[in-house]
Amino acid sequence: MSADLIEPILWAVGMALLAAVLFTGIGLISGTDETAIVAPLALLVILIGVPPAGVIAFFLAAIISKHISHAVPTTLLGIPGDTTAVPMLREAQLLRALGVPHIALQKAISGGVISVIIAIPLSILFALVLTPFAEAIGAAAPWIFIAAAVLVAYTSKGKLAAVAALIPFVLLIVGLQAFIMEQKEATFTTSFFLGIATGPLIFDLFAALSPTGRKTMTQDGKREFTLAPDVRPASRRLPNPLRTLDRTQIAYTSGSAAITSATFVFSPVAMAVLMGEITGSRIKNGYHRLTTVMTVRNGTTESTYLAETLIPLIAIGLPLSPMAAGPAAPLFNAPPVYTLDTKSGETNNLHDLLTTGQFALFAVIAAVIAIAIAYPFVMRNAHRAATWVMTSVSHEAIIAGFAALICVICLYEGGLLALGVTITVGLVGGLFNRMIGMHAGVQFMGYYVAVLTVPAILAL
Amino acid sequence: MPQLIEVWNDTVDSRHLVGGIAIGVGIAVPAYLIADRAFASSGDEALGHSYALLVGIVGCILGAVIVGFMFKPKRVITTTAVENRSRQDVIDEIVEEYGDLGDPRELGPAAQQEVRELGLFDALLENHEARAHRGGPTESHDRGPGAKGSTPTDGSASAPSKGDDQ
Repeated sequence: MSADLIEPILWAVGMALLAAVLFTGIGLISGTDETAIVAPLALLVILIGVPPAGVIAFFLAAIISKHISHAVPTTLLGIPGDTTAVPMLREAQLLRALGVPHIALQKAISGGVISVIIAIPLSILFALVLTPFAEAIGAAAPWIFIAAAVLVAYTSKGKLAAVAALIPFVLLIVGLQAFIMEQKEATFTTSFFLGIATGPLIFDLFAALSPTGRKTMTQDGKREFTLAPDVRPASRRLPNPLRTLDRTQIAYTSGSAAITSATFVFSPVAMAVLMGEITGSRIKNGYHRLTTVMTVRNGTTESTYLAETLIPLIAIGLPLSPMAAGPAAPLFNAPPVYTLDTKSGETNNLHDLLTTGQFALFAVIAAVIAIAIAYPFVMRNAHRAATWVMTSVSHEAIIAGFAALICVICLYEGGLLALGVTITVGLVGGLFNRMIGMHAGVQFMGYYVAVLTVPAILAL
Repeated sequence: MPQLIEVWNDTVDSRHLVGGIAIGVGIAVPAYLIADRAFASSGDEALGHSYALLVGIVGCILGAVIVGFMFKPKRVITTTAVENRSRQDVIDEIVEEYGDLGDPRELGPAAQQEVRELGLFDALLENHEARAHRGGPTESHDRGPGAKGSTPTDGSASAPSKGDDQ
């Protein structure tokens, strides 16, 4: 190992440790959506000047550990730990009813660990295969993005309405960007991302302000949650995913991790649903089907996130996946540190700053650290941690934190104008999300249609 | 009488929410603005701007912690023992929603071991055989006694589905 690699490795180790501890905790709190929380923190890490090795390790360790601990609220409380945990809810609730929520939890997170181990080498391999075609993919990007946006919109809850709503949403962004350009001769990105990610929250806050809106939100009493009883694993040995899962479960998890490492333009939630359905249809015994589908679905949330981050980063440099357009967006574009000129396709981001070998090295460091911290912690302390979060962390505190975060990040990016942009995008996006079923994933695609496809159409 | 409303998938008291946001923003925004001014006057502006952001985010966390201490969660948490009803009723309900859970003797050795350790083996076997008697294992929508009405999941079945996936 050459001496000039030592400093980046130390950065990677340090930042991965920080992210793993931080996000194992954050994952326990339901509602902490990946986009709303991972993207701003990654942005912060970039802006305060952490070198590329630290940035990539921080990001990967964050998503790996968060996807391990998000299974805790999902299985023990029956509320999704974050957006990608939604497809696991049904199986989780049935296993809870059977009185074995700890099995649901252990299967889910063990599937996650196996999936990480498979997805990292495979997505790097797949990125290498794609690299020679990067220029062609980049040139086709405006058209790939609009096609993917329409497809993702159509597969969302909103179906055709979500596809049609892309038009006003894209035009809103184009209009706001033009106004910002006129006022400040600059472009904003973070304010748009933040508005999309926290849209449902901003929409709810507006609704709560309005007398008509508040009527629909009124609750009669406190909301009741039933926490499943604590049943600890019988053995006191160090937890081992290969022992927690049986051979069939390992095989199906590895298979779906391999498939989803290649299908990087599809939405992670859609892939988690699909892989679970395929697996479920092939397992005869009902009990076995429940636990295996749990395993595969949580595994898919890890593999899609890793592949959708690593492949565009290594091969292309443009954020050409739903994941790269959302939570991983700062890795591609975080001016003034990382820049991306959507018109010329010129990039100066992690794609240019790290070699494929370095990506592989730092990804492995991040994965090892995140798994070593999150997996044993969740296997052993899941019940205590879930109880503490539910009884001690008030929702008011979480919302207050987010409201303050929105203000600070917007003021940082562009003063009051940026704050106005975030509130506008958030209110419209939240409305489209709640009323039309056009989720944040579709809206992120809409943002890139506005900055990539619209100029390409106008240039025709 | 507190005014409980549902915001972002959980219950809050509207007055506590307004107070909480005021405290959070009231701490974080001045912290950021003051830090930005201070760093700007002392040299490197771009880097100072970023450090001010860091100060602002620390302010966000500090504000959230203070709000957390001031306002307690509006949730009722109950830890129930598995079920008051008999295990067969629960399994019947699951079968109704999900399909037959199957004969545990057909499971592979590892999975069978797991079911035995969980104490589910006899219950699953009994349920499977009862079903076989009533008319074949394929009848997954066979209504068992007491299997009508409620779903096998409890009140949390209507858990917030956020509807914004990526």
